[in-house]
Amino acid sequence: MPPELAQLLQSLIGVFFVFGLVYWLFPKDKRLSPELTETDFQRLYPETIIQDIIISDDFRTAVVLPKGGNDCFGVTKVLGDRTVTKLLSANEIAKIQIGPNMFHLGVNDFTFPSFTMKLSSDNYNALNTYIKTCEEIASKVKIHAL
Amino acid sequence: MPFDLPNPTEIAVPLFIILILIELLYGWRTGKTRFEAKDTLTSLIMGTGSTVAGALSATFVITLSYWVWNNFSLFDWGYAWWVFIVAFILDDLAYYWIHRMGHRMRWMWAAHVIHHSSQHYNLSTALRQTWTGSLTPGILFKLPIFLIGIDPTIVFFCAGINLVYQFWIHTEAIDKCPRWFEYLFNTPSHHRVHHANNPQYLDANYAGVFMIWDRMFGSFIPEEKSEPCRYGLVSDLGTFNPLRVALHEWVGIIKDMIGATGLKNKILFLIAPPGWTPDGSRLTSDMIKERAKLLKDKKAHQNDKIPAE
Ligand SMILES: [Zn+2]
Ligand SMILES: [Zn+2]
Repeated sequence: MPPELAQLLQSLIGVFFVFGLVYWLFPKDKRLSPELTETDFQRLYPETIIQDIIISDDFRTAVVLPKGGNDCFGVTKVLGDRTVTKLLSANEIAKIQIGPNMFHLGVNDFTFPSFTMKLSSDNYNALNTYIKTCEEIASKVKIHAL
Repeated sequence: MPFDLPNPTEIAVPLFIILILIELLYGWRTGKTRFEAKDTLTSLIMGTGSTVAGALSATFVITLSYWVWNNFSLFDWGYAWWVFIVAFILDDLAYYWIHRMGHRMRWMWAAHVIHHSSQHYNLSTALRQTWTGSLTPGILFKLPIFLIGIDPTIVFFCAGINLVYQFWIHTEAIDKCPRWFEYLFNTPSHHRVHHANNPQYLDANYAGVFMIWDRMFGSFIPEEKSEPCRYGLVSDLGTFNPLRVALHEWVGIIKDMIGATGLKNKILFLIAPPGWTPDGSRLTSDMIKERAKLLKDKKAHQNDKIPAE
């Protein structure tokens, strides 16, 4: 066996050994549930909050993008060119129907302390509950119903 | 070259693995460092892949370097011990600028973004290295060292040691080092800031080994206890697929360049800062910082207006 190949094999064995250990010792990413919020989730993502709410140009759809996105919620599909390639309705996340012009983003500074939205009271409550769950972990998101 | 020099990164691999195991067990016992299996696996695969990519592009890089050194070098430095020290300092300075450009020019960011694509910060993150570094103009920043006449082999050796040094700073397990050390050298605290996507921490602490470059060139930002680092990209990737991690920004650049109207815009998509668009529809790090500052001012202003209860 050429020495380069032997070295590559050695590295790969190391890679899978470390992977196995992490897989065994550390919590797996799971979807958010109230119990997990308290334990695993908090441990894995102490800073987890909503990372972004991305509104499509026509204001028809929004993506609620939690920090730690794909691993926890399976929500986001963002390509490297930084455009949202798959707009998920917030319905998939918080069971909210988003209609035209329901969202208005105030100032988005990537720490997302506030945004303003027009929602029906049902939708407002649902999203609020969702965000409250996130807020328990890091109180950085505040919403104001209009 | 009168003698053979080893490859420092190759020698350090067992050390890397032992230190990762120590951090892993420490994190498991104390919960103070965090790992996630898929994230770790991706980082380690990126590390292994980068050694393969490095080996594949080595011939090109070495040929170019020796061509410059053989044909244009101004002085003969020889191989005394102090030449290694000078080479190390100059290589670290070149690294600072390569790294800084790696964040400020999208062409170079396409290769470097890989290193910042993890939302975790642990020793495995250090191994999340690029596969496409040789496709960028980064090597140009090292040519002056060959031009003044230092043997490229010495420079490559120093660059290897530089990379090995940067391994241990990728951890949350170490808070702050002694003050003199924090002043002179890159440390876990300084590099956490570099990996953070909090607006106030963007585009800071590009140093490899010597922190003085950031202090000299105005890019130093200290870690504040009141602003804990959040790791990852401004827009996180949302994938653990190594191929997508390695290539996503290149694909983005190509798409943007094809879609752009006019040669000027096409070129700017390549050399302007990441996030640049002709119409300002995406955010560059400068725009993010600007907005964060506006928001902070606005909030302070609002708080002034609310009467105390
Ligand atoms: Zn960087
Ligand atoms: Zn790093």
